[in-house]
Amino acid sequence: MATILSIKNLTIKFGGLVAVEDFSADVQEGELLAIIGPNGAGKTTVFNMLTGIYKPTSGTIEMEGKNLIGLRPNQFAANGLARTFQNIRLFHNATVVDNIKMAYTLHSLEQFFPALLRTKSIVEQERELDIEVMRLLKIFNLDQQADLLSKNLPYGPQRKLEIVRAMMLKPKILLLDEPVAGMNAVEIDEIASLIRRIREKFNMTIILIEHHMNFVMPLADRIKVLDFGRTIAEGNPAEIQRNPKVIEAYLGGGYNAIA
Amino acid sequence: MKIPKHLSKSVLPIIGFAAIYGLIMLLKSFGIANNYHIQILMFAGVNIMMTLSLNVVNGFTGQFSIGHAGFMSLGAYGSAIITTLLLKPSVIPSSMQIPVFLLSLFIGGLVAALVGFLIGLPTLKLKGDYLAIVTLAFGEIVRAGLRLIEPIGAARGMIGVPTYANLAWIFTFVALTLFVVRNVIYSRYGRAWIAIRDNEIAAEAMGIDTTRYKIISFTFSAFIAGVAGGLYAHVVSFIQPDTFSFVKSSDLLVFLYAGGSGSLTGSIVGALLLTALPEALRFLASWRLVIYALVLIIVMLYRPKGLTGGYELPFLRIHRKELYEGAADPTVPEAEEGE
Amino acid sequence: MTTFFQLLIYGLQLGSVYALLALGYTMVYGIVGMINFAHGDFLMIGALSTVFLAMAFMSTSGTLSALQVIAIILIAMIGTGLVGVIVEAVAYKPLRDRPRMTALITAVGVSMFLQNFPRALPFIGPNPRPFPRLFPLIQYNIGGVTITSTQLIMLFLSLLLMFILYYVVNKTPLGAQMRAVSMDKDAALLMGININVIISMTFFIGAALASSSGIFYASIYPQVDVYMGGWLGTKSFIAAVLGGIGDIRGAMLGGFILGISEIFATSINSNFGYMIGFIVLILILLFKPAGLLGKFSIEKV
Repeated sequence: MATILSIKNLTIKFGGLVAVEDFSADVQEGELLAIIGPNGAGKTTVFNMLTGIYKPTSGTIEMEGKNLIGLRPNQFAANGLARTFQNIRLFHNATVVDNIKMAYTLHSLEQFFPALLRTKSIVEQERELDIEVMRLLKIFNLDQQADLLSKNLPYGPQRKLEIVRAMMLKPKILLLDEPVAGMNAVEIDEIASLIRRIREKFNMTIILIEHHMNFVMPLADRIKVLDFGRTIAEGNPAEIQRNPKVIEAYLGGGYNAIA
Repeated sequence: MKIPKHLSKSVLPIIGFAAIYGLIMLLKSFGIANNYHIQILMFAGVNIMMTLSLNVVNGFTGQFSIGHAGFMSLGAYGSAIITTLLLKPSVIPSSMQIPVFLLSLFIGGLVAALVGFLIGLPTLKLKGDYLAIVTLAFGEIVRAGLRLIEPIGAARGMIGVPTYANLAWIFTFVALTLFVVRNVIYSRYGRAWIAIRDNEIAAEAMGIDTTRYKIISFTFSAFIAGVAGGLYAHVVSFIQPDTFSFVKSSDLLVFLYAGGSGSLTGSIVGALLLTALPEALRFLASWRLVIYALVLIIVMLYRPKGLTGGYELPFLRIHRKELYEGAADPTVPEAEEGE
Repeated sequence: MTTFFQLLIYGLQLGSVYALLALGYTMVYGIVGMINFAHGDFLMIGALSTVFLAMAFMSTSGTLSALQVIAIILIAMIGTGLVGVIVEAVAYKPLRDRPRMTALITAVGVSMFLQNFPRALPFIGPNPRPFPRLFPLIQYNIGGVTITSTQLIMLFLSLLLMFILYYVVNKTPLGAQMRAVSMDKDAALLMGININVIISMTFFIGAALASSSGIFYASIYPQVDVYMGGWLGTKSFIAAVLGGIGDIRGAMLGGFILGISEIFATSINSNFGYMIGFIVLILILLFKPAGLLGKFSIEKV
């Protein structure tokens, strides 16, 4: 397997506080890497650095030999890093279809002056976009809600929509920030299947932050555990479950309850 | 003959507009409508264009521009310089008057757009209220600057702008503005703007270069405002810097939000109604503005989303279904088998 | 050199007017996140009511004693403060959970109302009125610089008011509650703070300060009319932003910076004086995008 994203020694300080220290990973193509850890461990901060929302104080992020640090978030997206957010960030006043179409802006070839006149070429491009979006929605079973306002979707489909929207970017790496937060067991299973399908169908590389262990363990190839900004453990699910440092970080020591 | 739906969106409204115009002309010939009414309508038309322009930036892109009168004045003076100082009626053949007029409007729009672009570059990085105050400052600096320039009349203003604009021209330009703004909203640009408005961080994360699209929005909006300003100059014949003050900018804000921001119909309704209202209330003398103020407060308290509440007239919206009419394969994508 | 100090005196005088007005703007913004475009009109209400109060007091004696002047100022301030409370309760409170632009447009309507309602009343009307002399006018000459007792008293009173406000906000329980509401309304509610009362108090204080600023402004430029508040309100808004909107010290700083630079710029050219506020603002925002003392609030991603 090839390394498609090389993260070395990412550190970020906010004033005197070190939020993340020395985070490194060589993300392999097609793998599912999970980042877990107690609340406040710095997991989302890592994501924010990997998508250009924060600039690390030191460290490098390299994709195919290109250093991405200092680029704006939209450029990170253009380079193939798509994400979902811990708190759902859909375009709430837009329809499901439009939410997806907005992720196509980057690749769209529509020009401004033809758009003003709504030329035949523009209409054709709009039609083709619509067809492609419907196809994507159909794959993920959201096509029936295509014309609903995204804010009117139930919680589960909203989270699903965020993932589908990120997929529209045709990313190389999908970063999912707590995709099953607040879901019941049935919904969690659905998202787990969704993720498996994405991996099979698109050979997608995925980096995942989650707290639900019975969701993470079966899905992850590799897990990194963060606590207070530092990586305290790394390995495959079996190793992590047995790791005493991990157990202590979550439960304060004295229990072996993660099973 | 069945008109294909997407053409019926363009043809029928044009017929509608022409019919309304014809009706007004008819009323005028019967003496029911007089020049005063026509002038109110012309002002309303200019205000509709200005409100649409503000809608692009404030309503659709979610930015906070409160100095838009500045663009209007740039367009007004820009076009007036062409028709009143350079290509005066006395130096051009009368057959050239209309082309010169149209050229002047284009130049007015261009001047405003250029300034909008230059202002937009550094300032659109500012957030919310800070952007607002800078746009306010911009509007006032333009006004103060115009007051200093002697060749265009300084604070006294410019007189003798030829009255090339008539109701027909205003109707035409309003229709044209509605047409292009509607079209651009239902394209990748409009969607990018709405994404920026709804969730700027997500928009960036989804690959939208928010600064670029904000600048496009601002520049496009400034162009429309400039053309509207040019039309205004050629209606009133006398322009002065103080007409385009923060008072005018706040009038435009009122038209936009009382009508309904993010809605093209709202801009029409807001501008039309609130231009006509103070005139209709003239019989109240000094109580006129008091009542107007109360109406405004009541509208905002009870219809906070604006009078139209987000409703859009049919010819001003485009549903994705319409993309499939007149196409080679007119079926809207149905559920595919398996997968 | 004497001109410099002379201009400085005038600048401090004007600056204190802007500072008092900007304080109200910034407090309201800090507590409810709203730019109250009608704020400048509280200045006008203060000045105008002082005219009528003075007329009432003077009708018996013809002159005003120090005690009467203090009474007039206090009555005007309290009265205007109450107007502020009423305005908030009627026009802004219902819109608290609405998008911000809605309240802004309502504020435009309120401003229009506050300006035109008195104008329509026959005994007020649109014409400017002279402002009564409230403070004794004794000129002192120090090294070629003229300073009047009016200016001294005004400066003293303004600084006193600012000091009192600063003390209240930072050292009293009421102030602590106000600061709590400005930081997190919901948390403040959960802590048992009565938000409605705090917000009303904020508007009361802001409007009262605005009216005092109106009295001081009219003492410098003794012509009062119903429209005097609009433009001054806009300028004090700029002062508040320049100093860092939401920050009380920022409003004071911004007010003085604006007043002083305006006086100096006007002495060079009147148009320049008119523009200087905007120029200073843009310069400051270029280097400190949140204003001199301001901080951006961080949006959690």
